[in-house]
Amino acid sequence: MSTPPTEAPASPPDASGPTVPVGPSPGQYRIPSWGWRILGGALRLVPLALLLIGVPVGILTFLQSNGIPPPFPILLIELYGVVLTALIVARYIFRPTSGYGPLAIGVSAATLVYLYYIFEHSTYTLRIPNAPFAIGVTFTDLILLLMIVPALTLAAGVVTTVEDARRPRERLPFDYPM
Amino acid sequence: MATSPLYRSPPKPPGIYRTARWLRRISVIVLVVIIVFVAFVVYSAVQITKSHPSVGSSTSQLEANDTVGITSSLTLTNPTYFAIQQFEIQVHILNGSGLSLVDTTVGPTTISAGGSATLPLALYIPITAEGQSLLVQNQNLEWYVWGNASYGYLFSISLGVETNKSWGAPFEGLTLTVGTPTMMGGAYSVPVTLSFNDDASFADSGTLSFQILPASGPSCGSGSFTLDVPPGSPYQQTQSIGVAAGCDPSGGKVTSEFVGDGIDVVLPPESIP
Repeated sequence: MSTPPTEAPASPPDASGPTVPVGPSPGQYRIPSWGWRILGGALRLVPLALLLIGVPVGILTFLQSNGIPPPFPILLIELYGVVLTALIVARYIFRPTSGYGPLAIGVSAATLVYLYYIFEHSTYTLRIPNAPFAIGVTFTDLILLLMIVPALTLAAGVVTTVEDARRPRERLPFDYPM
Repeated sequence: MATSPLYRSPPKPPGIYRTARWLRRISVIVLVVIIVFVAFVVYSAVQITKSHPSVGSSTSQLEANDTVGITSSLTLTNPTYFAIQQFEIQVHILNGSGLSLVDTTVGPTTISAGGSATLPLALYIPITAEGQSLLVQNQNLEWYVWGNASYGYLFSISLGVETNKSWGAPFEGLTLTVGTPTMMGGAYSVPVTLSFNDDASFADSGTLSFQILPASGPSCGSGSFTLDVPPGSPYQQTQSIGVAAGCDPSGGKVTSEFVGDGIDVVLPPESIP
């Protein structure tokens, strides 16, 4: 099996230079080329779109087709799904660059907004058509708990952004080891 | 630490990198724990189908506090792996005219995992004020029943049921007909006919006393009927009562009161044509 083409590693730091941030030595990491990263992102697109768009929209459409009003507008869920999928794929493609941290923050922030929207609508009352009863489910606590996850990844994104700003390429040998 | 010329241990990532990595790892762990927990809660909740809730035998009778008391019990078993917390039932009943008769809450109680609980249900429907029509008029009562509970520490579940139940009045179609006063043996008397159907699920046992009031002035006279009417039976009886000389009941009204075993209820007044 052929190895994926890689980009040239960063040039060695100038030992005589006065700058404090020191990048990794050449040959310590191997970054997949843009083409390979775009291909990898495209491959991730399929399960992500299925998970973030296909499944939720499928469930909501199923409810609607059975006369049960969906708890959230389907168009909004589609929109959130597309935005999250695009951001996650972009984060993967831009991982070796300094755009990774901000994109990671963007993914986490968008997820938090998404969860907050669900949190605001976290009491769902299901009225069974042609039946004299209704079932209500409140999952506010679950959504609050789930919001911990993007909050943690948001913090990780901030830390990575700071790291990239202070010591560019420092993380590359650990993200893309030889 | 000594290093071999053949093997160099991989460089340790810087602290800031390790911090970000650990934050990401913890987030994955939290996500996995939540997903597993929710899956377990859902699996556990499905076990509720093995539960067989039962409603105990119910009784319905006139109570001493001017109410119709409906008592029963609800037994629930919890075959799941989590307690059903803060289980509560609220009952709201409206009469045929849409007026609120009862607003009652049963509970809250906690049904432990694998345990069961029996909730006593006691509804006291007032038969005074807006509930007075229940004594003399069959009607459809609107029942709104809500059940609330917390489950698996993360979910609150509610179930609402709206239903109509027919109500059989104990003095359905009550009429007290006052005849024309006649003079018999030097005294005035008037025939009074009492008729109704006992459409309730309990017997009317006691005394129904009445008073004939003219349009103005003091009472013309009074009397009473002794009742022992089984459920579902009609009743009609006429008796003559003495009335004051010159008293004309036309345009007045008949007031009545039923006194039974520990109960004393005032029935709606009847106009005399």
